[in-house]
Amino acid sequence: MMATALRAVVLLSAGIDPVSGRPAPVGTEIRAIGLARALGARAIGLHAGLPVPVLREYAGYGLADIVCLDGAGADPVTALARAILSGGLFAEGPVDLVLAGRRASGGADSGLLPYAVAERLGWPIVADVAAAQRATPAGPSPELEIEQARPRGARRTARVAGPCVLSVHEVAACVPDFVFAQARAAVLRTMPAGIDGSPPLAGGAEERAYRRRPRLIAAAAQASGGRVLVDPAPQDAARAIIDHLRALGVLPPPAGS
Amino acid sequence: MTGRPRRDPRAERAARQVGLGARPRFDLAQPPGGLSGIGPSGRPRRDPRAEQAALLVPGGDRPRLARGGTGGIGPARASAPAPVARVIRMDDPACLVVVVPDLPDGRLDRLDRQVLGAARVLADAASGAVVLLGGAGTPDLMADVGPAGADRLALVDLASDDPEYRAATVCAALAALSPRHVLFPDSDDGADLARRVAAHTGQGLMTGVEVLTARQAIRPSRAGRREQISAPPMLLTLAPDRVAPYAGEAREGRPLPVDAPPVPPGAGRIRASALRAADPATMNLAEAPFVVAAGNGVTDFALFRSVVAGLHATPGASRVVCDAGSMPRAAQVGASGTVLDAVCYLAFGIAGAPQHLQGLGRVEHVVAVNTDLHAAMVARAGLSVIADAQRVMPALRDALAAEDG
Amino acid sequence: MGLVLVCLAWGLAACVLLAALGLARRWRQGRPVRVAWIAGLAAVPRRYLVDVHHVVERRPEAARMHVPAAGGLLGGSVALMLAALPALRGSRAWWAVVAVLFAAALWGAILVRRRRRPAVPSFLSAGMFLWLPGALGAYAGGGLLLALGMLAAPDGGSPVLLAPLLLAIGGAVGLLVQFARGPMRHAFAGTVWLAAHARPGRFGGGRDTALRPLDLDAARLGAMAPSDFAWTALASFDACIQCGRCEQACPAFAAGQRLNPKALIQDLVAATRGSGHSYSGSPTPNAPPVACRGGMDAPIIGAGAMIHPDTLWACTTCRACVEECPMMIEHVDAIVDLRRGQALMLGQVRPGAAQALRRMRDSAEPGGRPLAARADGLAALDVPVLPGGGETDILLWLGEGAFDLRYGRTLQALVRLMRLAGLRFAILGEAEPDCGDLARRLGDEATFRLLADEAIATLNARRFRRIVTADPHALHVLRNEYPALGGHWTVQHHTALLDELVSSGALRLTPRDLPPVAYHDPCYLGRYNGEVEAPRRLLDAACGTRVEMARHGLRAMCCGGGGGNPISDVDGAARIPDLRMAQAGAVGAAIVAVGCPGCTAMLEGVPAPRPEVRDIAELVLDAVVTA
Repeated sequence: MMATALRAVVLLSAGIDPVSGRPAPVGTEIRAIGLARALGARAIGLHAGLPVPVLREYAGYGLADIVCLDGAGADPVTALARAILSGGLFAEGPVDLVLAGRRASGGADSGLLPYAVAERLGWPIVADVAAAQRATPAGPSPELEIEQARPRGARRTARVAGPCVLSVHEVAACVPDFVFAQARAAVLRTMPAGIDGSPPLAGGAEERAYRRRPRLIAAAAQASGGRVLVDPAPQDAARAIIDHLRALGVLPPPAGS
Repeated sequence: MTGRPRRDPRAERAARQVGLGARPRFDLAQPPGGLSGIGPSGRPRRDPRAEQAALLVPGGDRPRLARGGTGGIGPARASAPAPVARVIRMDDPACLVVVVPDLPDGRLDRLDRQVLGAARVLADAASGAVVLLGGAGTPDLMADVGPAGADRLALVDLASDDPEYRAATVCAALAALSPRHVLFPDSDDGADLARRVAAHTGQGLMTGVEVLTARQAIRPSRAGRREQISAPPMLLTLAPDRVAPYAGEAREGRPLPVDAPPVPPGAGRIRASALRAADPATMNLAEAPFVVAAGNGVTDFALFRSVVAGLHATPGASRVVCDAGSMPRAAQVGASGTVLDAVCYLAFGIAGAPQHLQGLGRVEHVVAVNTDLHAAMVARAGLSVIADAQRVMPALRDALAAEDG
Repeated sequence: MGLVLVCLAWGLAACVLLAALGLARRWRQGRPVRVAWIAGLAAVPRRYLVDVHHVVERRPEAARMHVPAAGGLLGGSVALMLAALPALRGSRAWWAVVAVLFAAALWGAILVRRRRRPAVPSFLSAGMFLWLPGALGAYAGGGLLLALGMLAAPDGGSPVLLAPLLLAIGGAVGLLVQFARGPMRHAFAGTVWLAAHARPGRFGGGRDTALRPLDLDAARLGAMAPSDFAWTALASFDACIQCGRCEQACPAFAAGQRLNPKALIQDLVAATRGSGHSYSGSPTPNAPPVACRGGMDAPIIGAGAMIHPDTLWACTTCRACVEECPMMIEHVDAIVDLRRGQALMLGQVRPGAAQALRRMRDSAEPGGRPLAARADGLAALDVPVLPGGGETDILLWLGEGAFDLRYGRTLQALVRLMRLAGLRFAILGEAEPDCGDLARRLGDEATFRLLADEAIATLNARRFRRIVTADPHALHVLRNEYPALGGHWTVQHHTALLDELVSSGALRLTPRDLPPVAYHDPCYLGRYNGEVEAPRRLLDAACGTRVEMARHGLRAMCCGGGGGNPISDVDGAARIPDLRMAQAGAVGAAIVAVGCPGCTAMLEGVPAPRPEVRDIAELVLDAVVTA
């Protein structure tokens, strides 16, 4: 039986490149597009704000259609949730899946927005997705099997049913190819967000240029002062390496100790 | 002349410098000049060295702190204070500061302890008490939370596989406790929980806080190019290695009953399984914690692979080796290959071309086995063995095999 | 009998014309381009006899073969056709001329045969080439005998001549097949291509090497199918005579990197013909099999098409094949056209290249490093930064190599020398974006334009007399490729500047006693810009021990660092820089002098023991007399 294609919305932000500070797509959101493609979903980009040039670059990674919500600045969460629930995005039916990067890069970067949208939609959210596949081939509420990325290459499998929100992790391998022809051909539609009021004043938090501060470091880091063994016997060299690795904690202690 | 002792910030900074090289690093946990006891202002001074000594792990010929944070079993040193006799009680706190730790394996880890240290900063300024929330079903924890800085232990079961259920449990407990601040570790799971709680309660959340004092919290924003400063909010997650763990006299860690209505089992919309550790032999090089790499000085790749397997490491290689087809392209370390995020990098027969060293971006510890004493890799290494890698590898393989019996 | 022979010549000519029209009809399916026909056709004799001959004579036996073979065949046939005039047909002298010409053609056929006997050299193709001398010999031999017969009896008609006539007819049919479906079409396709050449500036010793800008609004970008190529390019593919000089020069082929420029051109020819393949030269090394499916509008690249993608990314764009091609075919243009199609229309580039391109789009730097860090290597020298609206004499363009600590030493040496010479100069500092060379060679014209527009705007907002750079890739882009986009400046390589300073006496050098030094010509300085003398003059002034590698100057071998080859992770049997270093070692060089950050990085990546790598600026600084 042929699976019906999922209808996915990819949340797009106007990111900036951390190194240069120039407008740039956010890596996790690019992977979100890739995840939508990996799931065989029909995907629409959704951006809470006016069309900005960087959205075209997202389109190059595989979005033919991007919807911009004009006037969403006052309350982007409400605007996004309304647009997702409105039924106006896909002609074929409601949205099955919302994909986002785990954290934006260029705004507050709190990583809260996908959660807030999920809360508003009343949908479950699974964060830090490294890979996903459909657990059930078809059906009205598709079930997804998700690989959640955890530090040091660890993974956790999670199953989530029904319409849901996924936030995609940096280690997700589903980076789509950038195609210039797609970027220039994409349609950027603007829809009114239907939110009253003006953007909230940037009160609360004061902002200034980032200051790099030293981090606490593990004591073992300062212990190694560049010890050099010149031409040792191979057995002594092996012992020295093993002891050093044990002292660093990267090599487990010998079996039976 | 005022007669006041003058500080020399440069000298203090220099005294805190650890490690040499292109990026000087500073250990702010270290007191300038190593003073302890009573400082010039007359206030009692912390002795972070002694605090560190308390975390020392026995064995090995160089000092090592328990990275997992379960230490505190180190041998008494001459400079270490006498074993703690007194426990600080906090009977009538003005407010509560809640910490929701990760408790991997049911114990406080390094970041959990730092979060407790941060909570202490906020609580002390407001005569409040630090409450550790969670930990039900982890008997080891009881003895550990007081020394780590918690006045209270609100035993709540947060071990569910359903993140929504855990968040609901935390929300219910917080509603009952009405804390002034709630601190989470900014780990993957901790930040996930914090964001769920923030989204559910609508409370403000500052994630990835890097500087925390009683008056202000600072976190990076706008792709790390700017930073936000505000008064410490209700909810925050603390970035790793930014605030020192609590190292004062032990707190009480007294159980605190939470008068929260039981949380009904959730709809079970998310069913998560247990964490699976990665197989080092096949895992993604960029995520691997321990990488062992072969360069031009390696000719026997079957031997190399057996050494890598014996070390439970992830194999890597230099460009020359990948170009020759001796190792797959995915194993290439360097600017044009993979940039590592490993804790340790062991390089066999790699001289260390600039392009290759760029691939060691964030690697903390480098071990080099190389015939050339003047190789760039040797300059970068914490331990260097100046010898033929082809002769060291068999010895290493045999030594590891002998240990495993 | 004479008339029969004349008819044969006319018939052959008519059939050749028909076959030529067939070729032309196929070419017309390519993209139309404007061609200056009159000037082009008028220039053909000169282009053939000077420019083509200049390349062909590098293999003297090939030049010697063409004179009797091509001259005799054409001359004899034309003379026969003229014998349609009764006056000539009745003239013994005329038949003597015909006989001499056919005798020459027969000698040519023998010379053609000798090239592949006793064994076919690896660089030459077999297949139809094996019986080409037979067809030519039969036609020429038959013609010769008939002409001799006519010479003996002008009124002709002896039945003895029937045998040579049949021989000549057989040979003519064979030649026709060789023309319509075989290598002999190079005569016609080559003439058309020489007349309508895409780079007329290359004739007469010019070096027209800049890639042409691409109209980014066009419906199809780059070449995906044969019909996307300019029709002149399709003609140029048919002009290939499979002499294999390109494959002998190609660094990727030498390293076993899945690229053989000769096979590539023949694959493109096969793609215009549909499916199947009759190529019988040395294959593309280690190439995975492809389906060999083609067609004028069918995709060219892919395992299911005609050319494997690995082939495309193995090219270092060094232009060695172009330099060696006697038919002046533009292999690099073809490869970049194909890359443009893959990159812009399909996003199909190698992962390493995709990452570099993304960083170029997002942070204007292929390594993703902060632009402010580019001048870190010069921090101690306190070079002034030219602000917008500012003015200086020389603008020093640092290039991508400046991020590398090793190349920083070269730039420091250059800055010290410029200071010693009392020059007034400045750098752009944080305002210097990447010049976009890598993006352009990888076929990503969109990213190139993004960077080029920024660089041109930045440079046009400042005043200076000239730009100096130590990076030949940046030199080429700034000097040759930005003019089409609105950037016109005097751009100089640092070796040209230093040469100028040394010859004017602003810098005085004492030759030092060094071990043998070999100069490795950067492709983008030598072949792309024709600058091979200034670096050598400088080296001679800085050390008296210069040796020359076998391949040097305009025919030097690439270090493997160009065209995005290193970041495309192309597998091969050997590494190009290793081969080049071995060539330096073979002439006893202990030091390899370089003038390019790419060459420095590639050659320094060769495992020891190997010659030391020093930039010319470093060697000049060591030899400079300070007083």
